[in-house]
This record gives sequence, structure tokens and C-alpha cells, in this order.
Amino acid sequence: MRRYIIRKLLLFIPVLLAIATLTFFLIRLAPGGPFDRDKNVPAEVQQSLERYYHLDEPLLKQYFRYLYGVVRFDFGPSFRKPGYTINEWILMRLPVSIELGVYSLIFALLIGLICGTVAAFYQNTWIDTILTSFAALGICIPAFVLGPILVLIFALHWEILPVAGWDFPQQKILPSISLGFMYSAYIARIIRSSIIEVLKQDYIRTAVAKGSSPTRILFIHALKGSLQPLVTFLGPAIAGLLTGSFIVETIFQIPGLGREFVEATFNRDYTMIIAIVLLYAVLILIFNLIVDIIQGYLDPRISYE
Amino acid sequence: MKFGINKLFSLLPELNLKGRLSLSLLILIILSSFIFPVLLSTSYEEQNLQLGAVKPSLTHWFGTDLLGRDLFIRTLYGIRVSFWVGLCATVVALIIGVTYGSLSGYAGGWLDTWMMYIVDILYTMPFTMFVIILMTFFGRNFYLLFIAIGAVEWLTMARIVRGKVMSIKQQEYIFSAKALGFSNFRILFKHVIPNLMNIVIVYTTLTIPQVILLEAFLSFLGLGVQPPMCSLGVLIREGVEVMEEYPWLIVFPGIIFVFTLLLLNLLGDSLQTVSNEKVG
Repeated sequence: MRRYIIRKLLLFIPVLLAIATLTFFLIRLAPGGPFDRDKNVPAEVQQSLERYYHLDEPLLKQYFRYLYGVVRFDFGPSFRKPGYTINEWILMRLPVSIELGVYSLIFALLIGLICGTVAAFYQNTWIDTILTSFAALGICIPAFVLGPILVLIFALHWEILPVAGWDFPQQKILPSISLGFMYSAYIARIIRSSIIEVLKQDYIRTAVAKGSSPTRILFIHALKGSLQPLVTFLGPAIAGLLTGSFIVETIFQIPGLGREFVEATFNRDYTMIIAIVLLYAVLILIFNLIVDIIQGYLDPRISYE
Repeated sequence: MKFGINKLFSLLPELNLKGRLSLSLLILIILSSFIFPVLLSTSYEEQNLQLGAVKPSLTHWFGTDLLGRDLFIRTLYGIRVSFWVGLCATVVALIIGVTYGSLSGYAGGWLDTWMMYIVDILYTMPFTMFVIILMTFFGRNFYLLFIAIGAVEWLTMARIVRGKVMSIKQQEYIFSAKALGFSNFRILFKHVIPNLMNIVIVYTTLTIPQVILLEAFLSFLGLGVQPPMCSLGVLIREGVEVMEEYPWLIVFPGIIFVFTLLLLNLLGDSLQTVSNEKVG
């Protein structure tokens, strides 16, 4: 097990190197630069700006200079946020995105688990039909449709929740629901079919035979046995929650990393773009690794060799 | 693709009620997106600045936008563009995925191990971010959009196809073809790939809504289809900007978008059920 984790962690290095290289050359080979939008910049100022950020050096030299920085966790200064280093800026914005992601995940898990379990228990009754239809509809409602419509109803029409912002608890409700909703529908579907599968197993028949109550069978025996597909889903889903926040943070004007990334690409903030891409890549890799490990605990039959 | 179309028609009569219903509604939507603009003799870009944004009425069923353009016609046109992007990008994903997956599965051995290892690595990449970078930095080109989306969506297709090829490879007719001395190329393209079509058709119908979703996501950020053209994502983006004063501009495109995705997903689901029953 330990060997497996170490081997996986070592594999992170070439993957991250590839991502850093790809991103670096992708944004550098494109036309345009970070200081093109500032009009009427005297040539000397432009030159000294480029010298300050080492933009006048050959591309390969810049690449190795950048890689050398990345290895020491130094992502350099931001091109468009004078006075800030990338590290300072990211440390300021990342907690917001993580907070949003965690709330959405809690919402998605809560709704998804309850709906999925109940639907499986009342399989092929009207309760199941309603819940399954709700889930089928839910996977078709992305955050950029749900978010505005929730704002329309709760903020503009009934005026019970704020339109945007990220300072008070009330402001965090609508963004979290918008982001988590689609995932709650996916989770409900996965849990339902997985529990239905598990309920056919022998050990459930044993539990019924020994007289366990239906609630106990459902929530203790069946739910635990059906978590594995959910865990497989959650790895990529957490990555999706992070990137999905691009949209939600834009709609609700939340000062998180997702909105920062979109702005950085529009502004050609080279160092910021690569730093955020790498950060997300690391997060995705780590979540995938955690999923692998948890799966081993849930199903001892999986071998890591 | 002759095989593909034959297979598609052989699957259709066996669709369940849900699948038939959603297929008919989808055909209805696509047909009406071509018929109504002609019938009402307005185009999606015809402006009426004096009119401005008006509420839904009998003359303008979904209302009009700030430039006085009829939202009903624009939504229908948006559906057309979204479907077009969905189809083209899916074809890109299909070509890459089927070729890659069948080569990997057919070759087997170390080549297969490495090709699938590359897919595993690509899976862990933050692809949405790459697509955003690609679209911002290299201009918002319509064809680049297909390629960018197709390049993201082929991974799952490759995995599914590879798994299927592995099982087809063990069939007796492949052994016979080998015994007859056919070249690997001929076996792969004449005997293996045509037998993949069931699974490819099912997965294609499930990919199209994913692509439409991704395109709308990009359009929402202003990176997808560019004005004066419009897709459903563009309409939603335009609607969000003015939803305080003119809520119908977000409500109608939003509902139509969700409904279209729902129909496509239902069709995919029921095709999947049919082809599973056929195999099992």
C-alpha cells in the first residue's frame, strides 16, 4: 500500500511537468502579450516592463527560469497585479473557492444520498418515479442556467436572499446550490442503482432473515456496500466542482480562483494562468489518489500491485 | 459509415416508449427550427430598434431582446447552432476515440498498456482550463471550437471502444479472418470496427449532450460561438446580463436548453438499454 502511494506520487512529477510545459508554450506561442492592452505606453516603458518580467529573453531561457522557480514553489510576480506575487494572490483567493466547493459538495451529498436511498427503497413505486425523474432532469440543469434562475426567483422576485457577494452566510446559499445541484442529481442516480444492485446480494438476505429492521438494512448494510461507485464518481466530480466554480463565481461575483483564472486568461497574466492550472492539476491528482485509496478500504478485493 | 446507419435503424424499432417519445420530440424541435423562421419570415438577426425589448405576446411568442430581435426565432436558430456544434465536435471525438481505442485494443501487449496509460494521464488534466486558454489565446474560431471540444471528449470513447475490441478479438470470426490470411488493417476496418457500431452509436448519443453543455459553458464565458451567430449558450449569457429588467430573455432559452438536453439524455439512456438487452 505504501509502495503504491509512493509510486503514484512519483508519477505526479512527469504529469505536472508535462502540464506546465504545455501551458507555458500554449500561452507563449499565441499572439498578444500582457501589456498590449495598455495604450500609449512609451517604448522605453514597454521595454523596461519587458526586461523586468524577463519577457525580452529567448523563450527557452524564460521556460527554464520559470521551471526553476516552480520547483522552489516560487511562481513569480503577477503581470497584471502590480505589487503582488502569485503566491500571495492565490493564498488570498483559494480559500474562497475551497469554501464554495465544500458547501456545494455537502449539499450534493446530502440531497443525492437521501434521494438515491429513498428511491431505491421504494423501487418502482410513485415515490421512485418522482425522484428518478427529478434526477434525470437535474443532470440537465447546469449551474449557468440554475444560478440565474435562482437569483431571479429568490433575490429579485421574493427578495429573501442577496443577489451576489461572498461576505455573509446568506450570500453563500444560492451559489452553493447552483454549483452542487447537478452533482446531487448524479449522486442520486448512482446511489439508487448501486443500492438496488446491493439489495440483491446474499448478505442482505441474511440480514433480512435475522430480522434486522428495514431502516437498519438500508442505511447500515446496503448504503455502505453501495458507496464504491459513488467514490469513483467523486474523484472527477470534485475536480468538476472546482472548475465549475468558474461560472458560479462569475455569476455571483465571488472573489475566488475560478473567476481569477478567467480574468487572467483575458488579461494574459502568464504567471497567474500557469500557477492556477498547476494548482488545479495537483488538486485533481491528489483527489484521484485519495479515491484509489478509499476504494481499497471499501473493497479489500482490489489489489494495488 | 454505411454500417453505422444500418445499425442505427435496426436499433430504432426496439426503442422503449421513453426513447421513442424523446426521439420524436427531438425531430420535431429540429424540424421546427428550420420551418418556423421561413413561416414567420423573420431572421435571427433582424433588428427592430424602435420596438426594443418587449414581453412575450402573440406576435413575438418569446418576446424580443434589446435590439428588438424576436427571441423565439433566435432560440430556434440557437438550437440549430448548438446541435451543429454538438454533432461536429462529437464526430471529431468519435474519429479520434474509435481509431485510438480500436488500435490500442487490437494491438494489445505493451502498445496497449502505453496507449491506455497516456489516456489515464490525459484524464487527470484540467481540460476545461486548456480549452479556455485555447479559445482566448487563439481567437474564437468556429472550427477551433469543434477541435477543442472533440479533443476533450474522445478519451471516454477510446476507453469504451478498447474494451469492446478486446472482447471482439476473441471471437471466432476474427480467428477465421486471420486463418484466411487477411491483413490486420483489413480485419480491423472490415471486421472489428463495424461490429463496434452498437456501442459507438449509444455512446455518441450520450456524448452529444455533453458537447452541447461544454459549448454552452464556453459561450457563457464569451468564448464559444460569436455574435451575430448565436447558440443556446450565447442566448443564456445575453439573458443573464439583463435579467433584472427583462427576465423572459433568460427564462425561455434556459428552459429550452434544459429540455433539449433532457431529451438527448433520455434517448441515449434508452438506446443504451436496447443495446444492452441485445447483447445480454
